Amino acid sequence: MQKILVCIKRVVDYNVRIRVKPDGSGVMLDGVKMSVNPFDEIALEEALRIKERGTNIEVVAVSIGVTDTQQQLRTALAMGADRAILVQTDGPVEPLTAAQTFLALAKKENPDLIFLGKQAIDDDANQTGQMLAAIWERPQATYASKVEISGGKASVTREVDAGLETIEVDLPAVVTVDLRLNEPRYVKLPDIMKAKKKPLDVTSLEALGVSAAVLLKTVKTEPPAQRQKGVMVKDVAELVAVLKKKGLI
Amino acid sequence: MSGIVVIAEQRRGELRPVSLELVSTAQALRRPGEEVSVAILGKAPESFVKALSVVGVDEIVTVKVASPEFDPDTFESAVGALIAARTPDVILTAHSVDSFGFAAALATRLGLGFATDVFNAARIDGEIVATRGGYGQKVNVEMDFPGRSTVLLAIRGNVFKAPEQAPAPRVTAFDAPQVASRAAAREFIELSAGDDVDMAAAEFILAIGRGIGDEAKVPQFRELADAIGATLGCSRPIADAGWLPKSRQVGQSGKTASACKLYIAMGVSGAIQHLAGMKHVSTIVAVNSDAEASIFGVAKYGIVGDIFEIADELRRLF
Repeated sequence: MQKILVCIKRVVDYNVRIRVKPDGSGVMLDGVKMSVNPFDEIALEEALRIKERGTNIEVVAVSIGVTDTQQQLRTALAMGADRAILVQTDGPVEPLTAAQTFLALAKKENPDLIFLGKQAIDDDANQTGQMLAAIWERPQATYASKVEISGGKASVTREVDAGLETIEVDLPAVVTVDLRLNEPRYVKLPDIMKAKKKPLDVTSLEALGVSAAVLLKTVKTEPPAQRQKGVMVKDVAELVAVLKKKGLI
Repeated sequence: MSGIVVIAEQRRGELRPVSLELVSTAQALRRPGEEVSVAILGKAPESFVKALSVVGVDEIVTVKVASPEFDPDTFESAVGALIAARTPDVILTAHSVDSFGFAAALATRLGLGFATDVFNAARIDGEIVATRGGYGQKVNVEMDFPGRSTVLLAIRGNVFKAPEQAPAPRVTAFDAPQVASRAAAREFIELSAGDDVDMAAAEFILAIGRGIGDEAKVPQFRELADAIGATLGCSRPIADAGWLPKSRQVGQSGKTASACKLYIAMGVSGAIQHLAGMKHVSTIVAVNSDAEASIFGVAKYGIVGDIFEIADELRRLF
């Protein structure tokens, strides 16, 4: 094990109340706090723990997005990534474009492992990791809640609908991580200072030979319908009375 | 391109309920005369024929695969071969961990239109328009797939209702090429399935959540449920802690309360995953000590207060 690539997405912070633009063209992003996708933060934490257990393992954080995505990559560097690469683009990035971009980076960097969050909390698409595994022609282990590396293999426990499944895949592999894998570390001030000196390369889709595909057309974005507000009753007697009246009991 | 192929989902011999819901989605998308085929992959796919025989299925395709567990490589290869042979214009899978294992890869390799977490789909002027969730289901996004002759949609569970049972339709065996898996299955820990209660059929459910706080409190709610004639259910934290068997868990990874008319949720906060299992309930009553709990957002009637005191009173007044 020599190198781990961690894919980071810049997303609206999970504490922000999401507002849809009045014209239905998308979600309001102006002046909104942006953060590292929480699942990607867990992915990075796991890569760092593997690095700390081993020797001479390099962790490279990569992202695709607007210039300001450098902020999220600096956070990744402050957490402990050795260096970062931003593939800068102003346009929308579909899952397939993201996968193709990470493939181009994988071919350049030859990592033993690529970590991603199982999904990003903005589009909730849950596609990029699996697409990357497909086009990289490498095995996938998704929804990881435990990862063990030894002898050129990754043993991954996955949270599937019916229970917990443990599989073993040969490296290089793509691993996407679930919520319960670990608790990411807090970044301390000295780490933020140190991160400013770490290398952050900026490149472009064109330089990597990726053309941003437009396979999906968003017709309209809107908030979900509000449920009719319920009635608060003051006590059980009132509740029982109203349920009886409605013939429910 | 014609025909709708539904990929049913099973794990360890158990058909996942969403499989039948996909048949209802197919009905919403089918063009006049278009056939709906349901494919089931597994070691003994024939064993699912009876369960998959529902209204709206024209054909059940059984695909035998060697791997005893779900394996993305095996499924990708088999479903890919089926798509190549059938050239459908719509492929439906569940929005689930297993389906993502092969759906994304197929969409990429075959150049399919692809959307996940779809909860509404329609054909408008012949084109597929899908509505999906984003931002943790706080935003609905309507999308179409320009220039794609085949579209693969991963459908959210518990949205469409499963159709009624029907006599078995045509059953076809499909020979899929067998591939070597790149993942070795090492272990599978099943969450304890528990008793044979049928939450899906229960008309009156009393559900408990994390708010009960202590396993020692479970018996008193069990007695309350018995006394008022309700079936005792729970949210995921209770089942994960082993306080009640998995069979009593309502929600996305549990059961759907599909026949329920009255649902009393006690100490249930109302996570999206739990609410997914309550979608078809006509009257929800929420009892919680936290007035801000999201369960109140879906409840028809709510009481804020101590759930144990309210439980005692319920028993007295019912």
